[in-house]
Amino acid sequence: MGMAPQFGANPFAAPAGVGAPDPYAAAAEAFAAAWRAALGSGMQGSVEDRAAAVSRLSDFLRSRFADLSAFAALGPQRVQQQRSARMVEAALRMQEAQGEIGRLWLDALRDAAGSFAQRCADPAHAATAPAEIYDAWIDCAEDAYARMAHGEAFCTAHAKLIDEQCRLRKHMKTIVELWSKELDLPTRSELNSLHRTVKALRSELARAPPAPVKPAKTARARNKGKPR
Amino acid sequence: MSTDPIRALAAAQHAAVGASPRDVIFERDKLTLYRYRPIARPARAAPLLVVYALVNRPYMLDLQPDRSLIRGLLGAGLDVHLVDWGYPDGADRFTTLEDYLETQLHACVAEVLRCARVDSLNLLGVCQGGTFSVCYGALHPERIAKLVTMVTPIDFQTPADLLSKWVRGIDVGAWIDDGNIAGETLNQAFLALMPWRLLQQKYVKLLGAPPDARRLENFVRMERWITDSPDLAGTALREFLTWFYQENRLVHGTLQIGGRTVDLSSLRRPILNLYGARDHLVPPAASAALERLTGSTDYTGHELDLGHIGMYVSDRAQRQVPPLIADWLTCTRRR
Repeated sequence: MGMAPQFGANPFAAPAGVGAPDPYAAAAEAFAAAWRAALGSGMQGSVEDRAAAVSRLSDFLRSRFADLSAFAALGPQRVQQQRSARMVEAALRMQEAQGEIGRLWLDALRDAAGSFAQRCADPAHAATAPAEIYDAWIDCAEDAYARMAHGEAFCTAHAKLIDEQCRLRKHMKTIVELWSKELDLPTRSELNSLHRTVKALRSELARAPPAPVKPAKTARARNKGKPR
Repeated sequence: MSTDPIRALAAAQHAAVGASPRDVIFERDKLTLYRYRPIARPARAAPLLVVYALVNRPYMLDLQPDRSLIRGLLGAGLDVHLVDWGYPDGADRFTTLEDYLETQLHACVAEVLRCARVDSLNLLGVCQGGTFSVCYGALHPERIAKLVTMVTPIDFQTPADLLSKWVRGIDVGAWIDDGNIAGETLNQAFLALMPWRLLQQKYVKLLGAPPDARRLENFVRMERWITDSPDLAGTALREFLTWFYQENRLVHGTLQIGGRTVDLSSLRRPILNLYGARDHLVPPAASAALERLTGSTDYTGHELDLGHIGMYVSDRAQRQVPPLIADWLTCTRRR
Protein backbone atom coordinates (compact mmCIF):
# COMPACT_ATOMS: atom_id res chain seq x y z
CA MET A 1 0.00 0.00 0.00
CA GLY A 2 1.19 3.43 -0.82
CA MET A 3 0.21 6.69 0.81
CA ALA A 4 -3.37 6.74 2.13
CA PRO A 5 -5.65 8.77 -0.16
CA GLN A 6 -7.05 12.03 1.31
CA PHE A 7 -10.87 12.04 1.57
CA GLY A 8 -11.62 15.63 2.54
CA ALA A 9 -11.11 17.22 5.95
CA ASN A 10 -10.25 14.89 8.80
CA PRO A 11 -11.57 15.97 12.18
CA PHE A 12 -8.86 13.95 13.88
CA ALA A 13 -6.09 15.74 12.06
CA ALA A 14 -3.82 17.95 14.08
CA PRO A 15 -4.49 21.69 13.91
CA ALA A 16 -2.65 23.54 11.17
CA GLY A 17 0.81 24.57 12.16
CA VAL A 18 1.36 21.86 14.75
CA GLY A 19 3.34 19.81 12.26
CA ALA A 20 2.95 16.51 14.09
CA PRO A 21 4.27 13.56 12.12
CA ASP A 22 1.38 11.27 13.19
CA PRO A 23 -2.00 13.04 12.88
CA TYR A 24 -3.80 10.44 14.99
CA ALA A 25 -1.38 10.65 17.88
CA ALA A 26 -1.55 14.44 17.72
CA ALA A 27 -5.34 14.34 17.72
CA ALA A 28 -5.37 12.00 20.70
CA GLU A 29 -3.01 14.33 22.57
CA ALA A 30 -5.16 17.34 21.69
CA PHE A 31 -8.25 15.55 23.02
CA ALA A 32 -6.48 14.53 26.21
CA ALA A 33 -5.22 18.07 26.75
CA ALA A 34 -8.67 19.56 26.26
CA TRP A 35 -10.22 17.13 28.75
CA ARG A 36 -7.39 17.66 31.25
CA ALA A 37 -7.95 21.39 31.05
CA ALA A 38 -11.71 21.01 31.52
CA LEU A 39 -11.54 18.51 34.36
CA GLY A 40 -8.49 19.93 36.03
CA SER A 41 -8.17 23.55 36.94
CA GLY A 42 -11.54 24.61 35.51
CA MET A 43 -13.69 22.20 37.51
CA GLN A 44 -12.06 23.08 40.78
CA GLY A 45 -12.63 26.81 40.50
CA SER A 46 -15.64 29.06 40.82
CA VAL A 47 -18.91 28.66 38.91
CA GLU A 48 -17.57 31.07 36.28
CA ASP A 49 -14.34 29.04 35.96
CA ARG A 50 -16.31 25.84 35.47
CA ALA A 51 -18.59 27.46 32.90
CA ALA A 52 -15.55 28.76 31.03
CA ALA A 53 -13.92 25.30 31.10
CA VAL A 54 -17.05 23.65 29.71
CA SER A 55 -17.30 26.35 27.07
CA ARG A 56 -13.65 25.82 26.01
CA LEU A 57 -14.17 22.06 25.78
CA SER A 58 -17.36 22.59 23.77
CA ASP A 59 -15.56 24.96 21.38
CA PHE A 60 -12.76 22.44 20.97
CA LEU A 61 -15.14 19.58 20.13
CA ARG A 62 -17.06 21.80 17.74
CA SER A 63 -13.88 22.84 15.95
CA ARG A 64 -12.93 19.20 15.51
CA PHE A 65 -16.30 17.88 14.38
CA ALA A 66 -17.74 20.92 12.61
CA ASP A 67 -16.84 19.64 9.18
CA LEU A 68 -18.11 16.08 9.44
CA SER A 69 -19.96 16.41 6.13
CA ALA A 70 -16.60 16.62 4.38
CA PHE A 71 -15.48 13.38 6.02
CA ALA A 72 -15.66 10.87 3.17
CA ALA A 73 -18.45 8.31 3.44
CA LEU A 74 -17.68 5.04 1.70
CA GLY A 75 -18.76 1.44 1.78
CA PRO A 76 -21.94 -0.30 2.88
CA GLN A 77 -22.44 2.06 5.87
CA ARG A 78 -22.08 5.15 3.69
CA VAL A 79 -25.75 6.25 3.97
CA GLN A 80 -25.87 5.67 7.72
CA GLN A 81 -22.67 7.63 8.19
CA GLN A 82 -24.00 10.57 6.19
CA ARG A 83 -27.23 10.46 8.15
CA SER A 84 -25.36 10.54 11.45
CA ALA A 85 -23.17 13.37 10.20
CA ARG A 86 -26.23 15.43 9.32
CA MET A 87 -27.66 14.81 12.77
CA VAL A 88 -24.45 15.96 14.45
CA GLU A 89 -24.45 19.09 12.29
CA ALA A 90 -28.06 19.80 13.23
CA ALA A 91 -27.22 19.33 16.92
CA LEU A 92 -24.33 21.79 16.61
CA ARG A 93 -26.54 24.37 14.90
CA MET A 94 -29.13 23.96 17.63
CA GLN A 95 -26.46 24.45 20.25
CA GLU A 96 -25.43 27.69 18.56
CA ALA A 97 -29.03 28.88 18.50
CA GLN A 98 -29.34 28.06 22.20
CA GLY A 99 -26.18 30.03 22.83
CA GLU A 100 -27.66 33.09 21.15
CA ILE A 101 -30.78 32.88 23.33
CA GLY A 102 -28.54 32.51 26.37
CA ARG A 103 -26.59 35.65 25.42
CA LEU A 104 -29.81 37.63 25.05
CA TRP A 105 -31.02 36.37 28.43
CA LEU A 106 -27.76 37.50 30.03
CA ASP A 107 -28.23 40.96 28.50
CA ALA A 108 -31.76 41.12 29.89
CA LEU A 109 -30.56 40.07 33.33
CA ARG A 110 -27.88 42.76 33.21
CA ASP A 111 -30.52 45.28 32.19
CA ALA A 112 -32.77 44.10 35.05
CA ALA A 113 -29.96 44.35 37.57
CA GLY A 114 -29.21 47.91 36.44
CA SER A 115 -32.85 48.95 36.79
CA PHE A 116 -33.07 47.28 40.18
CA ALA A 117 -29.95 49.08 41.44
CA GLN A 118 -31.35 52.42 40.24
CA ARG A 119 -34.66 51.73 41.89
CA CYS A 120 -33.04 50.77 45.19
CA ALA A 121 -30.98 53.95 45.11
CA ASP A 122 -34.03 56.11 44.51
CA PRO A 123 -35.36 57.30 47.91
CA ALA A 124 -38.85 57.64 46.43
CA HIS A 125 -38.98 53.90 45.77
CA ALA A 126 -36.81 52.64 48.59
CA ALA A 127 -38.21 49.33 49.83
CA THR A 128 -37.11 47.97 53.19
CA ALA A 129 -39.20 44.86 53.79
CA PRO A 130 -37.78 41.72 52.10
CA ALA A 131 -41.08 41.06 50.31
CA GLU A 132 -41.10 44.59 48.88
CA ILE A 133 -37.50 44.30 47.74
CA TYR A 134 -38.27 40.95 46.13
CA ASP A 135 -41.33 42.37 44.35
CA ALA A 136 -39.25 45.30 43.11
CA TRP A 137 -36.72 42.84 41.67
CA ILE A 138 -39.48 40.85 39.93
CA ASP A 139 -40.87 44.07 38.42
CA CYS A 140 -37.44 45.02 37.08
CA ALA A 141 -36.73 41.50 35.80
CA GLU A 142 -40.09 41.19 34.09
CA ASP A 143 -39.80 44.62 32.47
CA ALA A 144 -36.33 43.82 31.16
CA TYR A 145 -37.51 40.44 29.93
CA ALA A 146 -40.47 42.02 28.13
CA ARG A 147 -38.17 44.53 26.40
CA MET A 148 -36.00 41.66 25.22
CA ALA A 149 -38.85 39.27 24.33
CA HIS A 150 -40.65 41.83 22.19
CA GLY A 151 -37.42 42.75 20.39
CA GLU A 152 -36.49 41.72 16.88
CA ALA A 153 -33.27 40.01 17.99
CA PHE A 154 -35.00 37.71 20.46
CA CYS A 155 -37.88 36.85 18.10
CA THR A 156 -35.36 35.97 15.38
CA ALA A 157 -33.20 33.91 17.77
CA HIS A 158 -36.25 32.18 19.20
CA ALA A 159 -37.52 31.26 15.74
CA LYS A 160 -34.07 30.03 14.75
CA LEU A 161 -33.85 27.84 17.84
CA ILE A 162 -37.22 26.23 17.14
CA ASP A 163 -36.35 25.72 13.48
CA GLU A 164 -33.03 24.08 14.40
CA GLN A 165 -34.77 21.86 16.98
CA CYS A 166 -37.17 20.78 14.24
CA ARG A 167 -34.32 19.90 11.89
CA LEU A 168 -32.62 17.84 14.58
CA ARG A 169 -35.87 16.06 15.40
CA LYS A 170 -36.40 15.30 11.72
CA HIS A 171 -32.99 13.61 11.48
CA MET A 172 -33.65 11.67 14.67
CA LYS A 173 -37.03 10.54 13.38
CA THR A 174 -35.45 9.28 10.17
CA ILE A 175 -33.04 7.13 12.15
CA VAL A 176 -35.77 5.83 14.49
CA GLU A 177 -37.94 5.05 11.49
CA LEU A 178 -35.18 2.95 9.95
CA TRP A 179 -34.60 1.11 13.21
CA SER A 180 -38.33 0.44 13.49
CA LYS A 181 -38.29 -1.13 10.03
CA GLU A 182 -35.31 -3.29 10.99
CA LEU A 183 -37.16 -4.53 14.08
CA ASP A 184 -40.46 -4.96 12.23
CA LEU A 185 -42.17 -2.39 14.43
CA PRO A 186 -44.85 -0.09 13.03
CA THR A 187 -43.29 3.10 11.72
CA ARG A 188 -44.68 6.61 12.03
CA SER A 189 -45.23 6.86 8.28
CA GLU A 190 -47.20 3.61 8.27
CA LEU A 191 -49.36 4.81 11.15
CA ASN A 192 -49.90 8.19 9.49
CA SER A 193 -51.03 6.44 6.37
CA LEU A 194 -53.59 4.47 8.39
CA HIS A 195 -54.79 7.60 10.23
CA ARG A 196 -55.30 9.36 6.90
CA THR A 197 -57.29 6.41 5.59
CA VAL A 198 -59.49 6.28 8.69
CA LYS A 199 -60.12 10.02 8.49
CA ALA A 200 -61.06 9.81 4.82
CA LEU A 201 -63.43 6.91 5.53
CA ARG A 202 -65.05 8.81 8.39
CA SER A 203 -65.60 11.86 6.18
CA GLU A 204 -67.11 9.64 3.49
CA LEU A 205 -69.35 8.01 6.05
CA ALA A 206 -70.51 11.39 7.35
CA ARG A 207 -71.40 12.51 3.81
CA ALA A 208 -73.24 9.30 2.96
CA PRO A 209 -77.05 9.43 3.10
CA PRO A 210 -78.49 7.67 6.15
CA ALA A 211 -79.28 4.03 5.57
CA PRO A 212 -83.05 3.38 5.08
CA VAL A 213 -84.64 2.15 8.25
CA LYS A 214 -86.14 -1.31 7.79
CA PRO A 215 -89.66 -1.63 9.20
CA ALA A 216 -89.69 -3.72 12.36
CA LYS A 217 -91.08 -7.18 11.77
CA THR A 218 -94.21 -8.14 13.63
CA ALA A 219 -94.20 -11.22 15.82
CA ARG A 220 -96.36 -13.04 13.27
CA ALA A 221 -94.04 -12.20 10.39
CA ARG A 222 -91.02 -13.29 12.41
CA ASN A 223 -92.60 -16.66 13.16
CA LYS A 224 -93.86 -17.22 9.63
CA GLY A 225 -92.58 -20.47 8.17
CA LYS A 226 -90.92 -21.59 11.36
CA PRO A 227 -91.70 -25.19 12.39
CA ARG A 228 -93.85 -25.37 15.47
CA MET B 1 -54.88 23.45 59.49
CA SER B 2 -51.13 23.08 59.61
CA THR B 3 -49.06 26.20 60.16
CA ASP B 4 -46.36 24.75 57.92
CA PRO B 5 -47.15 26.08 54.42
CA ILE B 6 -45.67 23.02 52.69
CA ARG B 7 -47.82 20.62 54.75
CA ALA B 8 -50.85 22.84 54.28
CA LEU B 9 -50.29 22.86 50.52
CA ALA B 10 -50.02 19.07 50.49
CA ALA B 11 -53.28 18.84 52.44
CA ALA B 12 -55.00 21.03 49.84
CA GLN B 13 -54.21 18.64 46.99
CA HIS B 14 -57.59 16.92 47.36
CA ALA B 15 -59.46 20.00 46.12
CA ALA B 16 -61.88 18.92 43.41
CA VAL B 17 -62.63 20.85 40.23
CA GLY B 18 -65.96 21.24 38.45
CA ALA B 19 -68.94 22.26 40.49
CA SER B 20 -72.32 22.34 38.75
CA PRO B 21 -74.38 19.21 38.03
CA ARG B 22 -74.71 18.45 34.33
CA ASP B 23 -75.76 15.74 31.90
CA VAL B 24 -74.19 14.45 28.72
CA ILE B 25 -76.64 15.05 25.89
CA PHE B 26 -74.42 14.22 22.93
CA GLU B 27 -71.16 12.36 22.35
CA ARG B 28 -69.12 11.64 19.26
CA ASP B 29 -65.66 10.15 19.51
CA LYS B 30 -63.85 12.51 21.95
CA LEU B 31 -66.41 15.29 21.70
CA THR B 32 -68.94 15.70 24.52
CA LEU B 33 -71.84 18.13 24.78
CA TYR B 34 -73.10 18.86 28.30
CA ARG B 35 -76.29 20.46 29.47
CA TYR B 36 -76.21 21.96 32.96
CA ARG B 37 -79.09 21.35 35.28
CA PRO B 38 -81.13 24.48 36.01
CA ILE B 39 -80.86 26.12 39.42
CA ALA B 40 -83.22 29.05 38.86
CA ARG B 41 -86.48 29.92 37.15
CA PRO B 42 -85.91 29.84 33.38
CA ALA B 43 -85.14 33.19 31.80
CA ARG B 44 -86.64 34.24 28.49
CA ALA B 45 -83.64 33.60 26.33
CA ALA B 46 -82.53 31.17 23.66
CA PRO B 47 -80.41 28.24 24.88
CA LEU B 48 -76.80 29.17 25.45
CA LEU B 49 -73.93 27.12 24.01
CA VAL B 50 -70.51 27.78 25.54
CA VAL B 51 -67.51 27.09 23.31
CA TYR B 52 -64.14 26.91 25.01
CA ALA B 53 -60.63 26.82 23.53
CA LEU B 54 -58.80 23.70 22.44
CA VAL B 55 -55.72 24.59 24.47
CA ASN B 56 -57.09 24.12 27.99
CA ARG B 57 -59.91 22.30 29.70
CA PRO B 58 -63.30 24.00 29.97
CA TYR B 59 -63.81 23.27 33.67
CA MET B 60 -62.10 26.60 34.27
CA LEU B 61 -65.56 28.07 33.64
CA ASP B 62 -66.99 26.04 36.52
CA LEU B 63 -63.98 25.64 38.78
CA GLN B 64 -65.74 25.68 42.15
CA PRO B 65 -69.13 26.91 43.41
CA ASP B 66 -67.95 30.40 44.31
CA ARG B 67 -65.79 30.78 41.19
CA SER B 68 -67.99 29.70 38.36
CA LEU B 69 -69.05 31.67 35.33
CA ILE B 70 -71.43 28.84 34.46
CA ARG B 71 -73.04 28.84 37.88
CA GLY B 72 -73.54 32.59 37.57
CA LEU B 73 -75.29 32.11 34.22
CA LEU B 74 -77.41 29.26 35.61
CA GLY B 75 -78.34 31.50 38.52
CA ALA B 76 -79.74 33.98 36.01
CA GLY B 77 -81.99 31.24 34.63
CA LEU B 78 -80.08 30.58 31.42
CA ASP B 79 -80.18 27.15 29.77
CA VAL B 80 -76.43 26.48 29.59
CA HIS B 81 -74.69 23.93 27.37
CA LEU B 82 -70.96 23.35 27.05
CA VAL B 83 -68.79 21.88 24.30
CA ASP B 84 -65.94 19.71 25.62
CA TRP B 85 -63.47 18.91 22.83
CA GLY B 86 -61.78 16.18 24.87
CA TYR B 87 -58.14 15.12 24.78
CA PRO B 88 -56.90 14.55 21.21
CA ASP B 89 -54.44 11.72 20.71
CA GLY B 90 -52.25 10.53 17.88
CA ALA B 91 -55.26 9.37 15.88
CA ASP B 92 -56.49 12.98 15.72
CA ARG B 93 -53.36 14.42 14.15
CA PHE B 94 -55.09 15.07 10.82
CA THR B 95 -58.18 16.68 12.32
CA THR B 96 -58.64 20.07 10.67
CA LEU B 97 -60.24 23.33 11.70
CA GLU B 98 -63.02 22.46 9.30
CA ASP B 99 -63.59 19.24 11.26
CA TYR B 100 -63.78 21.16 14.52
CA LEU B 101 -66.09 23.86 13.21
CA GLU B 102 -68.19 22.31 10.49
CA THR B 103 -68.49 18.81 11.91
CA GLN B 104 -68.05 18.89 15.67
CA LEU B 105 -69.33 22.34 16.63
CA HIS B 106 -72.00 22.10 13.95
CA ALA B 107 -73.23 18.80 15.44
CA CYS B 108 -73.37 20.35 18.94
CA VAL B 109 -75.34 23.35 17.67
CA ALA B 110 -77.75 21.04 15.85
CA GLU B 111 -78.24 18.95 18.99
CA VAL B 112 -78.98 21.97 21.19
CA LEU B 113 -81.43 23.33 18.62
CA ARG B 114 -83.11 19.94 18.33
CA CYS B 115 -83.45 19.49 22.10
CA ALA B 116 -84.75 23.02 22.66
CA ARG B 117 -86.94 22.94 19.51
CA VAL B 118 -85.74 26.34 18.38
CA ASP B 119 -84.13 27.63 15.19
CA SER B 120 -81.30 29.62 16.73
CA LEU B 121 -79.24 29.72 19.91
CA ASN B 122 -76.98 32.09 21.79
CA LEU B 123 -73.29 31.34 21.40
CA LEU B 124 -70.70 32.22 24.06
CA GLY B 125 -67.13 31.77 22.86
CA VAL B 126 -64.18 31.97 25.21
CA CYS B 127 -60.61 32.74 24.08
CA GLN B 128 -59.87 30.56 21.03
CA GLY B 129 -63.42 29.24 21.40
CA GLY B 130 -64.54 32.83 20.78
CA THR B 131 -62.59 32.90 17.53
CA PHE B 132 -64.29 29.64 16.57
CA SER B 133 -67.67 31.09 17.53
CA VAL B 134 -67.12 34.19 15.42
CA CYS B 135 -66.16 32.01 12.44
CA TYR B 136 -69.13 29.74 12.98
CA GLY B 137 -71.47 32.70 13.34
CA ALA B 138 -70.21 34.14 10.06
CA LEU B 139 -70.65 30.80 8.29
CA HIS B 140 -74.05 29.97 9.81
CA PRO B 141 -75.70 33.26 10.81
CA GLU B 142 -79.19 31.72 10.67
CA ARG B 143 -78.35 29.46 13.63
CA ILE B 144 -77.15 32.23 15.93
CA ALA B 145 -79.46 34.56 17.85
CA LYS B 146 -76.82 36.47 19.81
CA LEU B 147 -73.07 36.13 20.09
CA VAL B 148 -70.98 36.71 23.20
CA THR B 149 -67.19 36.67 22.97
CA MET B 150 -64.84 36.69 25.96
CA VAL B 151 -61.09 37.41 25.75
CA THR B 152 -61.28 36.46 22.09
CA PRO B 153 -58.46 37.15 19.64
CA ILE B 154 -59.64 38.57 16.33
CA ASP B 155 -56.66 40.65 15.18
CA PHE B 156 -53.67 38.36 15.71
CA GLN B 157 -51.00 40.94 14.94
CA THR B 158 -51.47 43.75 17.42
CA PRO B 159 -48.29 45.39 18.81
CA ALA B 160 -48.67 44.04 22.37
CA ASP B 161 -49.21 40.43 21.24
CA LEU B 162 -45.98 38.71 22.27
CA LEU B 163 -47.17 35.22 21.38
CA SER B 164 -47.91 36.45 17.88
CA LYS B 165 -44.41 37.93 17.52
CA TRP B 166 -42.89 34.59 18.46
CA VAL B 167 -45.18 32.52 16.25
CA ARG B 168 -44.76 34.68 13.17
CA GLY B 169 -41.08 33.84 12.80
CA ILE B 170 -41.18 30.08 13.09
CA ASP B 171 -41.60 27.49 10.38
CA VAL B 172 -44.93 26.15 11.63
CA GLY B 173 -45.02 23.32 9.11
CA ALA B 174 -41.66 21.98 10.24
CA TRP B 175 -42.50 22.45 13.92
CA ILE B 176 -45.72 20.49 13.79
CA ASP B 177 -44.67 18.14 10.99
CA ASP B 178 -47.39 15.47 10.93
CA GLY B 179 -47.76 15.11 14.67
CA ASN B 180 -49.71 16.63 17.52
CA ILE B 181 -48.16 19.27 19.74
CA ALA B 182 -47.98 18.35 23.41
CA GLY B 183 -50.03 20.43 25.78
CA GLU B 184 -46.94 20.88 27.95
CA THR B 185 -45.14 22.56 25.07
CA LEU B 186 -47.81 25.19 24.67
CA ASN B 187 -48.02 25.58 28.41
CA GLN B 188 -44.33 26.40 28.51
CA ALA B 189 -44.86 29.01 25.80
CA PHE B 190 -47.65 30.63 27.82
CA LEU B 191 -45.52 30.63 30.97
CA ALA B 192 -42.62 32.11 29.02
CA LEU B 193 -44.69 35.22 28.34
CA MET B 194 -44.09 36.35 31.95
CA PRO B 195 -41.57 33.89 33.35
CA TRP B 196 -40.58 35.75 36.51
CA ARG B 197 -44.12 36.20 37.73
CA LEU B 198 -45.55 32.88 36.57
CA LEU B 199 -42.67 30.57 37.39
CA GLN B 200 -41.32 32.19 40.51
CA GLN B 201 -43.15 35.07 42.18
CA LYS B 202 -46.52 33.36 42.54
CA TYR B 203 -44.96 30.41 44.39
CA VAL B 204 -42.90 32.68 46.62
CA LYS B 205 -46.02 34.65 47.49
CA LEU B 206 -48.02 31.48 48.11
CA LEU B 207 -45.52 30.07 50.56
CA GLY B 208 -44.75 33.43 52.12
CA ALA B 209 -48.34 34.10 53.17
CA PRO B 210 -49.91 32.49 56.25
CA PRO B 211 -51.42 29.12 55.26
CA ASP B 212 -55.11 29.43 54.65
CA ALA B 213 -57.01 26.30 53.58
CA ARG B 214 -59.41 28.06 51.22
CA ARG B 215 -56.72 30.09 49.50
CA LEU B 216 -54.48 27.04 49.09
CA GLU B 217 -57.31 24.95 47.65
CA ASN B 218 -58.07 27.71 45.16
CA PHE B 219 -54.42 27.77 44.22
CA VAL B 220 -54.29 23.99 43.78
CA ARG B 221 -57.36 24.04 41.55
CA MET B 222 -55.80 26.73 39.38
CA GLU B 223 -52.52 24.86 39.17
CA ARG B 224 -54.31 21.70 38.18
CA TRP B 225 -56.14 23.54 35.43
CA ILE B 226 -53.01 25.29 34.17
CA THR B 227 -51.11 22.03 33.80
CA ASP B 228 -54.08 20.05 32.48
CA SER B 229 -53.42 20.97 28.86
CA PRO B 230 -54.63 18.62 26.15
CA ASP B 231 -52.35 17.89 23.24
CA LEU B 232 -53.35 19.77 20.13
CA ALA B 233 -54.32 18.07 16.89
CA GLY B 234 -51.40 18.83 14.58
CA THR B 235 -53.22 19.79 11.41
CA ALA B 236 -55.74 22.04 13.14
CA LEU B 237 -52.97 23.77 15.08
CA ARG B 238 -50.90 24.26 11.94
CA GLU B 239 -53.92 25.85 10.24
CA PHE B 240 -54.66 28.02 13.26
CA LEU B 241 -51.12 29.31 13.65
CA THR B 242 -50.60 29.87 9.92
CA TRP B 243 -53.96 31.29 8.97
CA PHE B 244 -54.68 33.33 12.09
CA TYR B 245 -51.31 34.29 13.62
CA GLN B 246 -49.02 34.41 10.60
CA GLU B 247 -51.43 35.54 7.90
CA ASN B 248 -54.10 37.28 10.03
CA ARG B 249 -56.71 36.05 7.58
CA LEU B 250 -59.68 36.86 9.80
CA VAL B 251 -58.80 40.55 9.64
CA HIS B 252 -57.94 40.50 5.94
CA GLY B 253 -61.14 38.65 5.03
CA THR B 254 -59.22 35.83 3.38
CA LEU B 255 -59.99 33.02 5.81
CA GLN B 256 -61.68 30.00 4.28
CA ILE B 257 -63.13 27.11 6.23
CA GLY B 258 -64.34 24.15 4.21
CA GLY B 259 -64.04 26.13 1.01
CA ARG B 260 -66.26 28.97 2.29
CA THR B 261 -64.98 32.44 3.07
CA VAL B 262 -65.39 33.60 6.68
CA ASP B 263 -66.63 37.12 6.11
CA LEU B 264 -67.03 38.95 9.42
CA SER B 265 -69.16 41.61 7.76
CA SER B 266 -71.83 38.92 7.37
CA LEU B 267 -71.92 38.62 11.17
CA ARG B 268 -74.98 40.80 11.73
CA ARG B 269 -76.37 39.36 14.95
CA PRO B 270 -76.10 41.30 18.23
CA ILE B 271 -72.61 40.95 19.69
CA LEU B 272 -71.35 41.39 23.24
CA ASN B 273 -67.54 41.47 23.34
CA LEU B 274 -65.80 41.25 26.74
CA TYR B 275 -62.05 41.61 27.11
CA GLY B 276 -59.50 42.32 29.80
CA ALA B 277 -57.46 45.50 30.04
CA ARG B 278 -54.67 43.48 31.71
CA ASP B 279 -54.80 40.44 29.45
CA HIS B 280 -51.23 39.38 28.58
CA LEU B 281 -52.35 36.53 26.29
CA VAL B 282 -55.00 38.30 24.23
CA PRO B 283 -54.28 42.04 24.36
CA PRO B 284 -57.38 44.26 24.46
CA ALA B 285 -56.72 45.59 20.95
CA ALA B 286 -56.74 42.03 19.59
CA SER B 287 -60.32 41.56 20.84
CA ALA B 288 -61.59 45.08 20.26
CA ALA B 289 -60.86 44.68 16.53
CA LEU B 290 -64.15 42.81 16.23
CA GLU B 291 -66.05 46.11 16.40
CA ARG B 292 -64.61 47.44 13.14
CA LEU B 293 -64.81 44.11 11.32
CA THR B 294 -68.28 42.88 12.17
CA GLY B 295 -71.35 43.76 10.13
CA SER B 296 -73.46 43.92 13.30
CA THR B 297 -75.16 47.22 14.05
CA ASP B 298 -75.79 45.99 17.59
CA TYR B 299 -72.28 45.70 19.00
CA THR B 300 -71.43 46.19 22.67
CA GLY B 301 -67.82 46.09 23.83
CA HIS B 302 -66.74 46.01 27.48
CA GLU B 303 -63.14 46.37 28.58
CA LEU B 304 -62.91 45.07 32.14
CA ASP B 305 -59.97 45.77 34.42
CA LEU B 306 -59.05 42.07 34.53
CA GLY B 307 -56.46 39.67 33.17
CA HIS B 308 -57.03 36.68 30.92
CA ILE B 309 -57.59 34.16 33.71
CA GLY B 310 -59.08 36.69 36.09
CA MET B 311 -61.93 37.10 33.61
CA TYR B 312 -63.27 33.69 34.70
CA VAL B 313 -62.14 33.17 38.27
CA SER B 314 -61.40 36.44 40.04
CA ASP B 315 -63.77 37.67 42.75
CA ARG B 316 -64.49 40.78 40.72
CA ALA B 317 -65.31 38.71 37.64
CA GLN B 318 -67.84 36.67 39.65
CA ARG B 319 -69.63 39.89 40.53
CA GLN B 320 -69.39 41.55 37.13
CA VAL B 321 -69.27 39.07 34.27
CA PRO B 322 -72.22 36.66 34.70
CA PRO B 323 -74.76 39.45 35.36
CA LEU B 324 -73.39 41.42 32.41
CA ILE B 325 -73.82 38.47 30.05
CA ALA B 326 -77.16 37.36 31.47
CA ASP B 327 -78.66 40.87 31.36
CA TRP B 328 -77.51 41.36 27.79
CA LEU B 329 -78.85 37.98 26.67
CA THR B 330 -82.22 38.41 28.35
CA CYS B 331 -82.67 42.03 27.33
CA THR B 332 -85.42 42.14 24.71
CA ARG B 333 -85.48 45.87 23.98
CA ARG B 334 -84.44 46.93 20.51
CA ARG B 335 -80.89 48.11 20.47
